Amino acid sequence: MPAPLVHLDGVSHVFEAGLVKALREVTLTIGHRESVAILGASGSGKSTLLHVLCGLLSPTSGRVLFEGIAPPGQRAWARLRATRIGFVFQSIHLLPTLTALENVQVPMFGVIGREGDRVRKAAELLERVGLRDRMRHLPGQMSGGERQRTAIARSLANTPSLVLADEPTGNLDSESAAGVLDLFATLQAGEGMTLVLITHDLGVARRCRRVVRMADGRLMSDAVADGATP
Amino acid sequence: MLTIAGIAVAVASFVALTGMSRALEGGWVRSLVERDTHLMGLRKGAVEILTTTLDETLTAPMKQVSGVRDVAGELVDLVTLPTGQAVLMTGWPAGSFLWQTLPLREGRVPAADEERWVVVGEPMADHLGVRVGDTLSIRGAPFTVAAISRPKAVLNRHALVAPLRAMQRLLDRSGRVTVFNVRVERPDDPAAVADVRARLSARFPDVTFTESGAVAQQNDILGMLRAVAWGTSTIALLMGFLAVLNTLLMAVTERSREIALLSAMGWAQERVLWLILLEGLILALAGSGLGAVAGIGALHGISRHPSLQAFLEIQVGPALVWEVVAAGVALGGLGGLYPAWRAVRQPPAEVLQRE
Repeated sequence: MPAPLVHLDGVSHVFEAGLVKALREVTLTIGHRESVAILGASGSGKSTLLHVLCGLLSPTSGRVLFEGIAPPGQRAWARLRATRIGFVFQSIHLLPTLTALENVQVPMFGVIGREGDRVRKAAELLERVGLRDRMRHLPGQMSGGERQRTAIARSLANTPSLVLADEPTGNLDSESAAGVLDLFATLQAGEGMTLVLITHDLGVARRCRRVVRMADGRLMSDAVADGATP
Repeated sequence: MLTIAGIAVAVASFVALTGMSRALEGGWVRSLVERDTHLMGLRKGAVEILTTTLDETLTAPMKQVSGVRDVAGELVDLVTLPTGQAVLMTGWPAGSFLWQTLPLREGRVPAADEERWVVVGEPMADHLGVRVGDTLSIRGAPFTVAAISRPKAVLNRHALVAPLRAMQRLLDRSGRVTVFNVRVERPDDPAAVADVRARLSARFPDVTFTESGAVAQQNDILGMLRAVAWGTSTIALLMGFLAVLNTLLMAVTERSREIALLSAMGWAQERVLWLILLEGLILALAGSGLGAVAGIGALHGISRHPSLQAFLEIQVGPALVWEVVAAGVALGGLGGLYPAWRAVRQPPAEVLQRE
């Protein structure tokens, strides 16, 4: 039986010399091709959980296994983030001086050697998220929904096994948010990747097959959502 | 752009100042090479050589030293022309080999008994508007222009050359010379030249003999000028370094989100580090390039100044280019090192969460 994609084993994380306990002995298993929503109020520890999941934060105690192996250090985690993990942020975080096409290529540096291959793949991804005509536009020339679509295309740059999305619709109007969630559903089903989505919105969480609720750094519940689309 | 301008000013100062001290040294060395002097004899311990003298009668015993082909004493001083320009005036013994090294455009070398005759360098003659046969007043004494010379070395081109006796009388230094020009039998054999130098030094303990290629380097006054040029250049380069450091530190602070984003996307710390360093290097190299052009321009401008054009021989060679490139790399590399280190030290999760 293959190892789960990610497994958190009794993970705790504290900030400010232990004054803030962001995660308290969290144990969580996320399998291949799953769509998981981490639902919780602000300060519940969901963003910290996301950062621990991808190695941006090292747990204070406990361990994180990626496909059954604990990455030995930051360099190994960086390599995993470059090749196996995609990221989508609430604040979008596109590089403002680069076009959509160039932004999508950023994660490919060091992974895809030839510039022609990078450009071709970035163009394909932008086409897939419906931005064929916006490739040469700067982030400042695009709407919020278009920028988030660009960020989603960027998260898929190196064909990841795991895409982590931190409040991906938090800054979008309802129409754009719905479009982004539809896109996630389509891509997750089509690419066969695992999607972990962080949200405080139950409506957004229900778009995922599995909903994990968090409060005070603890997992409160872990269930299959009613009416999940992916 | 302001950073590039700051670096350009620093590098231009470096190029102009060090270039000027080298032009001074180079001018002297090339003038010696042109007149085929292999060793130069100066009074031992002399700092300012124009005010010290040696006994002219040492010429004959120097010629007796094994390996010496010829010796010619030379009396040198600075004189002010009627136009106000200061130039070197030198007195050579009649019939010495030094006269044979002087290429003439017109006229002839003064005869042994023609004391108040002078050979004028071509640019000087043009500047003064004098021709062969005209009279030139030097320190109040009338000299007839015997010839117009056309040497290659700047110092020789702008010099006045008179017979030694006339020069001694003019300066009231009868029987004295400033330096001895020594020709050796085998100038292409460094060991042989060193042997001759050692023999001369042993025989004439009051005289310092220096190989013509090193004479400028061993001169104390030029050494002081060199030190001042390097000191000033170092301060200028330090300012350039601070400009790079300040710009990159601001850039790293302003772009902490972008840097954290790159880390989140799997960019290795080394790659982020190189990105910042590369930015510093590009800034510094662009500034150095502009500074080199501006510095060389300034150097040529300075060398045209009437009070300096007789002494500076500007030569922009590969050494200067390499030094500018090295300065650029050092400015960019050192200036970028700390900001780059700061950039990779900031925890990406903390920055992203803050945003």
